[in-house]
Amino acid sequence: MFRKAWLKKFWHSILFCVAVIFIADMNVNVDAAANRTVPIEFRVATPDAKTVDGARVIVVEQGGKVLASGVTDKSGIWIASIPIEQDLRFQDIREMGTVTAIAAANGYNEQVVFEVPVVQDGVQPIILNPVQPNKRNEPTVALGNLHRHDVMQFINRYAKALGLQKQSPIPGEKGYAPWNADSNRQSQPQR
Amino acid sequence: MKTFVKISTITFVLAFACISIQSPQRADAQIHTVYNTSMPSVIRVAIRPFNNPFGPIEYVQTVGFREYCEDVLPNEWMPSWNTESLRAGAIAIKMFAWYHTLHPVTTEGWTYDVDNTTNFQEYKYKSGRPRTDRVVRETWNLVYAPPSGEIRPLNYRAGFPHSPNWQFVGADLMAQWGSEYWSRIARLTYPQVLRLYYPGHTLRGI
Repeated sequence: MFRKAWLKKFWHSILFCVAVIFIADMNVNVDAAANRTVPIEFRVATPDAKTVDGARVIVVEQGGKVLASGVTDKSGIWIASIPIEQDLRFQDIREMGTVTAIAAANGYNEQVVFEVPVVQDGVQPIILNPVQPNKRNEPTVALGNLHRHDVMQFINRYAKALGLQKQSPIPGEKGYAPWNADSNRQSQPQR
Repeated sequence: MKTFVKISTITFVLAFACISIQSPQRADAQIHTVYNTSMPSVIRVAIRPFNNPFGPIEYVQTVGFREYCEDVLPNEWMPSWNTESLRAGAIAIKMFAWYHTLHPVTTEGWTYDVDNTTNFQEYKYKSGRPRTDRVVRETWNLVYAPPSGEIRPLNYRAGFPHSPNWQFVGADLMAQWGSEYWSRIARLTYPQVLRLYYPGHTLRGI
């Protein structure tokens, strides 16, 4: 009798665990499905305004994995479908992820573009410099096409979080001023 | 009496000569208007690294004037903003750039009309979006100028997010966030938004 009850409890526990794992897995799938995929247009060109066709673009996610890779067409364009993994630094500002892009093409030095914004209808220009004989021809580094307004709101978010004060208004700037260094709160390092 | 006539004559001749000499100078200082000046076909853009206003000039890029405006609008105004706000932005960007093609500068050994930073307007080559490109095309034959037709730089600032930006109203300085607020919340059209920030100007076709 005692053994039967124990067995019943045991099976119930097993069933409960299976159910928990199943539901947790479902939640993960739901979260993954919630990551909207958006097209990001990579436009590869040279400093003298020539488009580069046949350039390889590699998109790397925050965790280091390759998300997508492709080659530009005759217009120097490659469109990648990238899921928006919300970049938590911009969480309260707008739906936006960030990735890294690497571009390489025959006759050009490579370029790495950090912080490429993954947003609806995103466009990321990449400028490749031609190989020059007797020069070092090392890769160049650029910053993604982050919008000025996003950058300003990003700064505002963290300045407010730390209780920073605005500097005195700049004459002629209608109340706009950069943030000051002084904080009215004790800064707490975040983990 | 004779001396008086002599002095008067000399004074008159000298005054006439001065007026005559000054006349060509006046012609040189003629105001550029939308009536006597055609829109430029190209613009010289000094490229500073990372669009940093304090960075050194790397090179000067000559680009088509409309292409330039198309590659400025999505960087100055948010491409997702209300269409009326974008239209107001497209006209301000064009007038600002047009003015500067008429007033080029030489610094660091380079001669250019504008640079790619907020020293002038933020320009990123090949960054135009279909939506913002369309807005630039739609407003291309429109100019916004005072009654004299003078080509003036319609200046602007970011302003404050999600607010009407009252401090910019009537100040001859458009707030970008204000243009979005007034067009989205108050449903103003782009001529109304422009009138709000740049009083005494008229929208006209060319």
